[in-house]
Amino acid sequence: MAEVTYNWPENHKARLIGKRVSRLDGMEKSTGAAKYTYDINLPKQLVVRALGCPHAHCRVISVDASATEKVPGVVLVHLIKAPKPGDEPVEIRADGTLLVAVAAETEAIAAEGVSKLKVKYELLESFVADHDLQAAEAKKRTKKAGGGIELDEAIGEPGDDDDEEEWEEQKVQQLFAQSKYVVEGNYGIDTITHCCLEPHGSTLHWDGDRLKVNHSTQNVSRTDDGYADALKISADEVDVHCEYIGGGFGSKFKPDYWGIAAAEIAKQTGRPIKFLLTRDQELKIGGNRPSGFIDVKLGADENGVVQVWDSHHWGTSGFNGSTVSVGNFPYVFRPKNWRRRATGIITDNEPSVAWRAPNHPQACAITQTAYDDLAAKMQADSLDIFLRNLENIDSPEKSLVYAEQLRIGADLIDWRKHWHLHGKGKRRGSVVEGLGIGIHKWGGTANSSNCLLKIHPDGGVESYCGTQDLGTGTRTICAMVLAETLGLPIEAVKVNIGSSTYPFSGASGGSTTVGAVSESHRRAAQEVLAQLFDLVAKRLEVPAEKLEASNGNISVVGYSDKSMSWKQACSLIGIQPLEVTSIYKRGDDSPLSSSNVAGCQMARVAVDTDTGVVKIIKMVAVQDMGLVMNRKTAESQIYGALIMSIAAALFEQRINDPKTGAFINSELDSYRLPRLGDTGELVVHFHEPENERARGVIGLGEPPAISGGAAIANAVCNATGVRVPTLPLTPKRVLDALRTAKG
Amino acid sequence: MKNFEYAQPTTEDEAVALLTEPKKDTAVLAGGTDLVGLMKRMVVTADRVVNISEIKSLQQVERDDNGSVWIGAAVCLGDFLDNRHTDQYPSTKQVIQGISSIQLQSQGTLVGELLRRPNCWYFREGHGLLADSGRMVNEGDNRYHAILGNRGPARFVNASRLAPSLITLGAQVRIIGPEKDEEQILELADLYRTPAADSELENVLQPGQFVTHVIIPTHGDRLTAAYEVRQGEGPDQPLAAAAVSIDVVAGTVQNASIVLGQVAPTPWIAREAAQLLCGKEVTEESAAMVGHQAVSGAMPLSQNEYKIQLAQVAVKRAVLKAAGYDTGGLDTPMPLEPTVSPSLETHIA
Amino acid sequence: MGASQSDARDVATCLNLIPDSYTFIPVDLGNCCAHLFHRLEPDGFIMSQQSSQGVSRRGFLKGSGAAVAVSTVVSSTEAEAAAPGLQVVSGETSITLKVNGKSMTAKVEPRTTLLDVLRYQFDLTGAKPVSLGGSSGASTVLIGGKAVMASTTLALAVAGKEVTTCESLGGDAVPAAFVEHDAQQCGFCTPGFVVAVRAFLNKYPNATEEQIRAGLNGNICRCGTYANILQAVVSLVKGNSNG
Repeated sequence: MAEVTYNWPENHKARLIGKRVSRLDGMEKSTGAAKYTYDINLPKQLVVRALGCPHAHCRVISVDASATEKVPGVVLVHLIKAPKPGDEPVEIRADGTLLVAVAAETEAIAAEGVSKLKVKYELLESFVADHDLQAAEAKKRTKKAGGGIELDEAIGEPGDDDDEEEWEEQKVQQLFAQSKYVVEGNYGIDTITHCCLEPHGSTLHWDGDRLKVNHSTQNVSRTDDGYADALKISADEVDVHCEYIGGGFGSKFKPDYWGIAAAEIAKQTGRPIKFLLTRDQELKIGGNRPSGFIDVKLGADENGVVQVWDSHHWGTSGFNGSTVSVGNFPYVFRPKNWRRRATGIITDNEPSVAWRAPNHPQACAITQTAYDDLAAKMQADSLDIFLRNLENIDSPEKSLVYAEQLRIGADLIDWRKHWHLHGKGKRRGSVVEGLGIGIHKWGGTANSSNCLLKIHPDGGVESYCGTQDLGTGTRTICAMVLAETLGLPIEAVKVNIGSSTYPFSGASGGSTTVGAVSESHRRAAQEVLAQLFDLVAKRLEVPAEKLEASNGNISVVGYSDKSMSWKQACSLIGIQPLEVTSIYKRGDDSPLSSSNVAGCQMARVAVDTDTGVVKIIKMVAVQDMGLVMNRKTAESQIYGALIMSIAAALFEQRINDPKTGAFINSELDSYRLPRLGDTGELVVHFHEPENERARGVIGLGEPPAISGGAAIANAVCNATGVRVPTLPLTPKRVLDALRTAKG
Repeated sequence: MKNFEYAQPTTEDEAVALLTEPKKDTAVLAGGTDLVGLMKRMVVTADRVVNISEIKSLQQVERDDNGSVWIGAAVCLGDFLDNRHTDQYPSTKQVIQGISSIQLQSQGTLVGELLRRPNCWYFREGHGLLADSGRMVNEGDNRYHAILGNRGPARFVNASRLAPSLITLGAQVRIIGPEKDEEQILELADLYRTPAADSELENVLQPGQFVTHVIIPTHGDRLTAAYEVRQGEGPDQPLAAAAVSIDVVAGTVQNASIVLGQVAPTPWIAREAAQLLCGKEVTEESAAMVGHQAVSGAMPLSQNEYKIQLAQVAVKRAVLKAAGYDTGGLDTPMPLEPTVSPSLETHIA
Repeated sequence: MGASQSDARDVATCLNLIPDSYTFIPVDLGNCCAHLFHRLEPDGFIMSQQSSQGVSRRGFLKGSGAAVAVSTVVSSTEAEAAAPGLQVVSGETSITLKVNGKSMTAKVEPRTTLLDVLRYQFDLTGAKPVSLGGSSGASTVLIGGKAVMASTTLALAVAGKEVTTCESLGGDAVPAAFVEHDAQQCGFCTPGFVVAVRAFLNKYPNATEEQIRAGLNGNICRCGTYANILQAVVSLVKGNSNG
């Protein structure tokens, strides 16, 4: 067999790739046939509910479960983070931390059992004011989180006698003194929670010494390790399954301690266990995205090109106290001179976990707002200022891409027609409108992925891959790639994903999945097809390289009469199926995938200056992504990302009680999310210049979820002429900012 | 949820008998959109739940001989919306449309909405209506709490979105129990009270009593409107609200009623503001002045001063809207018209 | 309202009290002595106390002297002895629901929600448990054709009623439009949305885009599929294919 050259079909030949293909499991999802972890009912299962700690910071002294144990139907009380009688108290650092689990015959009984637990707490002082750097310093709740400085080479180096910091300070101040425009501002974005609609958890049972887990996970292939480590068994004794997952957004990679508790309870009771978090627990401990607040000073030349950036930012990721990564400040833009510093705030909250494009949306929202304020200060068009500053960005090779994307975005939102200087728009009653921009970047390198592909002598095609479908449409992508490559209709391939018993595939995090499965499935299909071509070539007495698979046939290029049907061709295989396992390792050089995208988003908003209510009129997303796999689901990713940006920009925030630290809006009636009527008109544009397709597949999940917040914040500033510093831009914050501006 | 006894009476008498069983903590169930959630949170821990939605006499919207419209306690919001008898109450319909949830409209009842328990997060977390005599709210996060009527320990805001408009319409409620055959007709405004002690509720209902009907008098030519300041669309709690009802004769307001919502532990009746409007023409200026007057007694907590502005604007806009003027704010959504015109009397299924 | 009218009201409700087709049946007692009063239907499933019989109250409001006389007939003691409505259920009992056209029996406690019955006893897991108080709409089902959240509905309160879940909408135009417009990502909110859209279109088959935006706000989607859902619903209205 000749060595296979991996490639994608040319555009004009592709039947499925790059087209609009409906997701294969859409009907199952729409009609309730799709079974999620929460939906799986095992015979004789017990349902577990746990007591979440009602205090943000305390010690758990003791637990009295006697009343719980008397509730008919309660089978087991299991301590999670609580002391056994006689043990030392357990310190708890976050509201909602699971203390004691109750396994019972029904959910209602388990919940009743939890309500009857009597726990003694010793309350400790809590701190949750993550926005308040001074208060945090006074309470010794801060932690250095990195920083650095880079000055233009022309400025030189400190002399041997110079104190380095003093010298730097002097140079930075000189740069500001030379700047035509200096902008100082503070900006922020609150902590939000992942709020997966399917809460974190598992439905599991022991089959002898084997642990069989249905787990709501973004990491089907590697969650078994987490279970195995904690339970001191071997990973090969754990099977993890997840056919469908009800949202993850970066928070579902591990068994979590309640998954381990579920396995322990299953062991002790000898019964299957269903243990998923309650809604408030999901918000409290299921995952949160760190907040970010910043003091910025920037200096720009007469053209509005930023020459010096100086910032200090802080925020919280909970009790471990780190903050948004300092590496991305300012975001995308990279002036020649910058100094930046970060401080983590230690609060009594659950530590943050990755959230769709970790660090980027916050960095974007609290730095590109400063660039927009420069435009406001200069009485300039924000679009011009963004364009001019493309001369200093962290990936200079992308300057032209951003410029082109900004031009397209501006056309789509009708920038010229609607633009006015900040605060100078027409007022209709109390309503003003405004425009804003944000730009973003992402890597999106394909993750490692292996695929086992079987071609049966009867023509049947089935694939196995331990990947998962977060809602991206992974399953559909796998089928599209196989069907395209083998020249078959999409219904002819049977795709199997969602089990750790299948070949390894990387976790879905960082926009790596579509690239990963495209790599593994294309490779497997091309390899298997090469083997099949060898058999067909022999039979038809033609060279294998003259063969092509299309329309359910394998035919000789140029000789339409010389062909075999797929089925006939497969009958040549013999009695055993053809099997190929492809292996793709992340980082391997490949013609099929690559990385690094740009993107811009623009927002047009209306602000009611009497009520502070902000409405989205229109948002535009311009996004490159290399080779578009499924135009339909790719579009959905971007729509969804825009809506998530609207959520974080206008609605979502974790609210901690300032006195007790409790997370007080942890139910969906108080944790506000946008609804269908809140989203305005959304426009998605795939940026596909001529060479784009040749870049291969690049992940799409994260990039469009980054810059919408900055775009909305800038649009509100453009509308009102007043910067509302912190997202979400609630009516209260808008009115407060307008009032402060009035003086 | 704690376990409880369940009963499903078919008559009002049965309901009263079931609700007055000695030593039983009872709760009335209709749509369940509020009660069931509160029971799951163990904020309500009734020994017995009495489902009144199968009582025939409570399932109808009908007009009496005086022209008043009687809305039974089992009538859902959507049925109110679709009923011809209620066309004379556009302000109430505007609010129901604003809830814009097909589920709440067909499951939630009008009477249940009027008696929705407060959304105060301290109350819903089980700290009681007064949450440590108001201290938790004062020292905590009070961005959505009361700006008026908050000088006692109660700081929550009344949760009903429909009460302001219905009070401006002069609605009454029929209450029965706790004794058999005991019945009273009360002004809707008097149903509410500001609790001063932990033992008190946000309404005057005694154990064993329940509201069977809302009675809305005929409304003649009065102009009515409601305006809610909402952060977003849908069933989430508005930030401030107002409803007005005015008589305009020859361009001049003769009578006015103004009630604010989401600002106080009760629907807040702005009598002086209403008086101020009388004798005036509705203009942008007079509406603004009335809005200003309506919040003149407001006393903000640490984080909710912005609500004074919102309440003021809500009043102003409700007045303008009632008089048929543009509110000057963000557009309100178009009303929905069902295709099949509903029958004269609507029965719930 | 005068006293005579309110008397009439009481009378009317009394008359509605005991339709002929009702009978006492003891139902699965569990460990208590509860009785449920049920109406036996020919096909054996149990209806709760619904009656098409009795005299309309409106008739009484028009004024009938006879009605006043009747009002004294049912004394409180008699009512207690005989009235089905006075029965109190506690502990576990059996009920029958008509789910997607099929009669199904469930064991419930008074606190058991319809959602728990559907998910745990009937393995109909399309309706999802997302929010405690129903703010998400994820548990939406149709009861008697109306959209209702199963998570805030007690199972006993819908005994005998017709429940339609998303599982029965396989042939409906709504899920097909959701697939066509990719109105789903993770899909966890989707069944609730599908049912809500079905109910919405039944009521407003000609809704404009603006009306859809203003009318379908009872469901929450976390992945952000609202734009696609809007497109799907608009297409259903346009295609007039929502019957």
